Amino acid sequence: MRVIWNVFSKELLDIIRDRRRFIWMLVSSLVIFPVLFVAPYALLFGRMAKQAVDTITVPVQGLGNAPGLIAYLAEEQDIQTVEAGNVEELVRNKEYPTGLIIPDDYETKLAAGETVSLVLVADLRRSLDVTVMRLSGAIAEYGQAILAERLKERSLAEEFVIPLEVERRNAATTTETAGSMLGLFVPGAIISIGLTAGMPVAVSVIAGEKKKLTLEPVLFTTVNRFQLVFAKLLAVLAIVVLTAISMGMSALIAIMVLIRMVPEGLFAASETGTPSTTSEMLNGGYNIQPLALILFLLAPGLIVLFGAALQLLLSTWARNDEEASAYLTPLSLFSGLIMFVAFFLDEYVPKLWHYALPVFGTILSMRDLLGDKIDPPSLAVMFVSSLLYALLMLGLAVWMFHQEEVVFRT
Amino acid sequence: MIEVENLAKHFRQKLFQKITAVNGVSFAVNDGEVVGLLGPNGAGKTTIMRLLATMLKPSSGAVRVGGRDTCARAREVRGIIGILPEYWGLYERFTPREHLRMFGNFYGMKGAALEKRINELIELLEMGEYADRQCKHFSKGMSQKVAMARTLVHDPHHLLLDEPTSGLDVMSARLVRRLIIESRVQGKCVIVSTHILSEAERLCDRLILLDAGKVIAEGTPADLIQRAGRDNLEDAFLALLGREDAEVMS
Repeated sequence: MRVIWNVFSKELLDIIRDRRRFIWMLVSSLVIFPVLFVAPYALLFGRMAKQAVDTITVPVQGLGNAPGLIAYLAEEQDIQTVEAGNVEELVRNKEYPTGLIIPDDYETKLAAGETVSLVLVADLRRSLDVTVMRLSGAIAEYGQAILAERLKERSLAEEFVIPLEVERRNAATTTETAGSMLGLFVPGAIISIGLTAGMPVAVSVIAGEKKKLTLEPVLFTTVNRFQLVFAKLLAVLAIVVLTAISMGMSALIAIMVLIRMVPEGLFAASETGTPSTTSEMLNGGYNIQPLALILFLLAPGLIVLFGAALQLLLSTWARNDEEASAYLTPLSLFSGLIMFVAFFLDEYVPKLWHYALPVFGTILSMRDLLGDKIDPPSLAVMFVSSLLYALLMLGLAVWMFHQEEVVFRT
Repeated sequence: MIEVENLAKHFRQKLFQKITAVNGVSFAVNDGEVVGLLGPNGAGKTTIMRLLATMLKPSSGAVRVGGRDTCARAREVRGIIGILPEYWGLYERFTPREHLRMFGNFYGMKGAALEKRINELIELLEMGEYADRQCKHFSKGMSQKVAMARTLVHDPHHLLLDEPTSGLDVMSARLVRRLIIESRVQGKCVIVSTHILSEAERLCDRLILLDAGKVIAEGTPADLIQRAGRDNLEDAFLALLGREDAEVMS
C-alpha cells in the first residue's frame, strides 16, 4: 500500500506542479457550461422577453380591409401595423419577422358569418422568433371574441361549438417523467466525462514517461508492476473525479443562472393546459430517494475504472505520448456516441441481460435511478458485470505492462 | 558476484521475424572488481544490462546476481543492484532530494535512515547547492549526479553503469570515476558500459569486448592490447573487431 501511495502521490504532484496545464484543466472544466450555455441562452431569453412585451410592427397587405382587427391589434396587443404592397418580399428580405395578408372580402364574409382566410407570412428560418407566435395568438384571441359574439347573437352557449373536450393525464409520476427527460442527457454526459477526462493523464503517466525515459528507472526498483499500474490508475481516476466535480459545479452554476433568466411563463403550462414537467420540476415536484441518488452516483464508477484501465493499456502499448493520443482519439469519439445513443432509449424497454452490456447497461441503470426506480436484479447485473469488465481490463493493463517488447519499445 | 552463462536474447521484430541481440554470452564479474563492457552501437551492451537488471527475460541461458537467478528471484535481484541508465530519466518537476526520497521509498527505505542516506549522497556528490531545486533546467553534469545518487540510494552491492561519464565536464567525470573506484575498494561488483576507451583502460580491471551480440575478446586492458599486437587500446579495439579501416569509433 505504501508503494502504491508513493507512486500515486508522485503522479498527482507531477500533475499539480505542471501549473499551467493543471489550472487550465480546472478553469476550463469550471467555465465550460456557463460559457457554452449561459451566454447564448442569455441572449436568446433576453430577446424572447423583449419581443414578448415590446411594441412590434407588422406589415399588412390589405390594411384597410379589416379596421376592427387593426384597431384591436394596436389597442389591445401593442402590435402596430403598416401598409405594405408585398408582405412576402418584406419578410423574405428579413425587413420584418412576420406579416399579414387580409383579403378584400374580409368584411363581407365576416358579416355573412363565414370563415375569413387570413395569411400570416413568416420566415421559418427564424425559428426562435416569438413575434409570429404573438401575432397569431392575438389573431386567435380576436377570432374567439368574434365567435363569442356570433354565439351570443344566436343565443347559443360556447359548449355548442366544443362537442368534445380532451383532458391529458400523465400515467407516469412527475419524478418518472422528469427522470426520463434527465435520462436523455445526464447519464451520457457523466459517462462521457468519466471516459475522457482522465485521458491526458493516462497518456502522460505511461507513454509520456516512456518518451521522457523516466519509466525505466522506476522499473529498475523493487516496485512490482501491478503496484505501478494500480497507482497510475488511481491517479487517472483522481483526475476524473476532480474534473467531474468541477464540471458538476459548472453545470449547477449554469442551471441556476439559466433558471433566473427564463422568461416568465415559458415553462408555466403546456398547450393542453396541463402543467409542464419542467415547471413541476422547478417547483420541487421532482424527488428521488437518497438511496437512488447514492446508487446513481456510484453507478458510473466501475465503468469509468474500466475506461481508465483501457486507456492505460493503450498508453502502455504506444511508443510515446503522441502515439497514445492517436490511439485514444476513437475512445473520445465513442464517448460522444454514448450521449447520442442515450436519446434513442426513450421508447426502449430493456431486458435484464441488456444491463450487462458495458457502458450501455450503466446508462440504463442511471436512467432508472433518475426516475426513482430501484430495481435490485438489474442493478446487480449492471454492477457485477461492470466490476468484471473493470477487473478484466485492469488485468490486461497489468499484463501489457509485463510485456518487455512493449514496455521498452520507444 | 554477477555470473552470466550462455546468455541469449532474441526479439520478435515482425510477426515471424526474430532478431538476435545477444548470442551465447558468458562472463563473470567478481566482488571488488570493475569490468567494462565495450562494443560498437548495436553490440548488445544495453540488452545485456537490461537482462542483468531483470528488465528482460533471457531467451536462453542464465544470469545470477549475488547467487540469485534473475528470472526466479527478480525482485530480490532488483533490491541488490543499482542501475545507472544511459539517459538519466529525471522528473523535471521534482528536486534531487525528492527523487532520492521517492526512490528510497520504492526500495522500502523510510524515516530517519532514508533522510540520513539522502544527506550523505547529496554531500558525496556535491549536490548541496541544488538539492532542493526542481531538475527542469539542470546541466548534464547536475542531472548525471542526481541519477548517480538515485542509483546508490539503497547502497546496492552490484552496480550497472551505462555510460556513466558521457557528456560530463572534467570535474563531474572525475567525481563519478572516484565513486566507481571507491565502490571497488568497498568490495562492490561493478559493470561499466562505455564508449570512452581511455576511461575503460583507467577504470576497469577487465574488459569484455562485444560485437553483434557476442563476446569477441575478454581480458585486462594490457592483455587485449597485447593480444591485438597494437600499442594502445583504441587500435587494439578496432583490430579485435576487424574494423581497422574505421577512422572514428561509432
